Amino acid sequence: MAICSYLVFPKPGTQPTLTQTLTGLPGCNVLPAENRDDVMVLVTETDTKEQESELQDTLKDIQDIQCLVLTFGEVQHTA
Amino acid sequence: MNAVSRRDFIRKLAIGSAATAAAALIPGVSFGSWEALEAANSDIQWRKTPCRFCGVGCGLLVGLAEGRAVAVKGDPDSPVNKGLCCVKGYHSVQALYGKDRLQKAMVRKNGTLVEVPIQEALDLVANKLKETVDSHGKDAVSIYGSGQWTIPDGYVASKLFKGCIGTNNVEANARLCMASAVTGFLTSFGLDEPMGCYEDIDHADVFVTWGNNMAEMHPVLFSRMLDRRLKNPNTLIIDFATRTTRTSQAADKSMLFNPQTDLAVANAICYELIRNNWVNWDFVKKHVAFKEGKTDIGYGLEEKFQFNDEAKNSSLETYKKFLEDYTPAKVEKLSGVSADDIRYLASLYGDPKRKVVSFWCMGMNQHTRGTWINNLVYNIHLLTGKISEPGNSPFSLTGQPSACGTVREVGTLTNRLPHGVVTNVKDREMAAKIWNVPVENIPEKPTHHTVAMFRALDRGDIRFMWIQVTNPMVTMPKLSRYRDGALKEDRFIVVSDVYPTPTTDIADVILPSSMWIEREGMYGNSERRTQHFDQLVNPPGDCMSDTWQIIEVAKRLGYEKQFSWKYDTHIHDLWEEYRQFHDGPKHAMASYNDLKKRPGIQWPYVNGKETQWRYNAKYDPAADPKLGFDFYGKPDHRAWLWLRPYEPAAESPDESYPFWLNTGRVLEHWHTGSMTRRVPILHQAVPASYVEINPEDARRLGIRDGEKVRLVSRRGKIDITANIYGRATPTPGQVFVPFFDESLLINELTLDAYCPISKQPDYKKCAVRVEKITS
Repeated sequence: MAICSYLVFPKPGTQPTLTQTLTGLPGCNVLPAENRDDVMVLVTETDTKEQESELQDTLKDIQDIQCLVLTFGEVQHTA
Repeated sequence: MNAVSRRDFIRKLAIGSAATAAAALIPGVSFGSWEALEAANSDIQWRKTPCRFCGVGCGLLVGLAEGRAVAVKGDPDSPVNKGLCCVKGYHSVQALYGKDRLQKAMVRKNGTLVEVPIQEALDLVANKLKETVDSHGKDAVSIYGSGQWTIPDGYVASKLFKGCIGTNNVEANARLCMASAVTGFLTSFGLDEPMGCYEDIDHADVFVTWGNNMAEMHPVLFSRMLDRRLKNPNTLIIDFATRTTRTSQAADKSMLFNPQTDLAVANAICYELIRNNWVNWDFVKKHVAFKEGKTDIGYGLEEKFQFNDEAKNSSLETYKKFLEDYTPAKVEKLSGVSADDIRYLASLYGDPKRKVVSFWCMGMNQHTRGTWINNLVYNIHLLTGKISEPGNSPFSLTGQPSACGTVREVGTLTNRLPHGVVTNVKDREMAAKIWNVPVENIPEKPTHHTVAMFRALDRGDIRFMWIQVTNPMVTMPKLSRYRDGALKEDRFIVVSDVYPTPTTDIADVILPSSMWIEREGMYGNSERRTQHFDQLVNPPGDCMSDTWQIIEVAKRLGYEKQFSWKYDTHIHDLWEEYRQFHDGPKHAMASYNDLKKRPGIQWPYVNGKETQWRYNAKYDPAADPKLGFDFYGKPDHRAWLWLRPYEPAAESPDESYPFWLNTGRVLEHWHTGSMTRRVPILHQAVPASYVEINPEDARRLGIRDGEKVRLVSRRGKIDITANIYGRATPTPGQVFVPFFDESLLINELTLDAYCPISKQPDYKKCAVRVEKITS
């Protein structure tokens, strides 16, 4: 199981579509900032190593993300 | 209790980490909706409220679980504190749960307090009130409230006593903390409360703290000043004080002045502004009028002291001549502040490229010339035109959470009404109409300010006093007289409070009050921001809100028509009735529904917009755009610059009593400590009061740190621990004692001298001697 949080900095003008994209990913919760459109918090939860790896690859491929900053990570490896 | 799952806990940590990182990178960013996400996955519900404590009015989010307040965090949506809290705020909810919380009403029978059903106690209060009026007249009854009253509390008190019973014996402890600020505003501008707001901090280049230890007394605002300096390294903080404190340590420059001589230094700054032609002459010509008042005005020490000031027209030429007594060289000798430092301070105010905020609180207000020193700091800002615009602000800070919102805006003082003053027939007519009482009910003459009210209680002119949410048996100056007075035969004292105190000790009836978020209410903070809070937890036992206690008594006295509100909607209905008094662009207040939705709304609130800067037509819809700056509180639409001289304190050190005694607060404790001393971590941080002594004085007297010494004044004495190398250091010849400790009643030593205009006592200056105790 892994729970991580990130600061996501969208490319200019892409916050609405990026929010939609991220919300649609399994295990992802998105919190856009209320008073800015250039940063949001992403919280991810996955149950297995494979799911986590797949999510990471998906996030890397999202073109609307300008910068992704890991701010918290808790990983529990299951046997 | 349901355990929080490990997964929930880690999820919360994850969200918290991201939000904290964002706030560090992007100050002011808000993820307010995160509590909605958390709440969906959590046993803790987060609800908004203003903090219980000081006049900054920080917005908090209180975490609720299983009917208890279990956690606090700063509300990131609050424009006041933007998610930050001080140590008292973070621990505030623990003050609800002290072991000896008052939960039952008590009545004194044969000298002993016994528990009774609260309805029986309320019956007794109403009967005694009626009996006293019948036997001794309306002015034999009184109510003494507080700047910690919620707005509804103060409103019903005023309506009952002034509108229904028909006495102006309504006072509040804000007389002891803010009255000079009020009279300062009224004499300089005609209307109360600051023209600026906290956002001035984000624009200022220079901050001058006038006798105010902001680092401890208004810590969140001080943090905002430090943040401003971090972001804008040319920002300066100048601390102008009578002792070296944490504020001094953080400041760019600390200037120490002899007590009372702030009057002279302020005039010296104005002398320099004129001498160097740093005056904004265009502003002065268009927007300022020169006035003189009476001088040699006394100190209120005589039993029935009376004083009324008179404004005479003056002129710039007369003012220039007046200031010739206040050259920096002359003032240096009196004040102990070097002429160079005075000139430097003047140059900061006079620099047209620098925006300046002056902050002050008790140092200037608890002062026998409190009104005058308020006027004099306004003079500096008026001469330079540095007022009513972002970053240029003379800002009078408030001590209590609702001294502004309740005492000053509702008008719970002897001379006041919710709109205007009792002496004005139109203001009485307005009150009579809204309150649904005959206008003849409302007396046209003020009766007693606070000190006079307690003197009247001592003499027997007042026989009944209802005290709510304040502790005068710790805070009244020259305390023994007023405690002895309250204990005399034929006095009936009702106390509404949350914990036992020296004031409940003298009560004939104790009513247990709901505290803060145990009832719905509103506070109004220093920057004209009204903040609503819901009832978030149930009060214990038979506790009842101060508002409802007054309503219950009012009904028993036969005023059902005026107090017909239903319990479920009374705060809404009461608020909508009250805000009628403030209709109009100069003071319009937000609706109940708007207040409920937001973390506070500043008044004037006009067409859905807060007025952040008053008197400037760019920001204030009440200001005449043709004038630009319109000081509409005065009939001539000008701010009044007053010629106020230096006059000495009521009691200065002499051979027998060679030290100044100054009193005040510490960061960790609120007022008399009745709440904060029951929060373990705050109590452990500062468990007992002490006397700060300057190291040179200590050495000369042979006193060591931690040793017990005796402080003696003409009024009393206490034995207290010496603190020589603590967080603050008084100047030589001065000692400082915090007043939070009810076992060390420092006000037994203080003097009940007051500013004759504001009637506010001076807790910062009387004379004592320090004796080494040899066993």
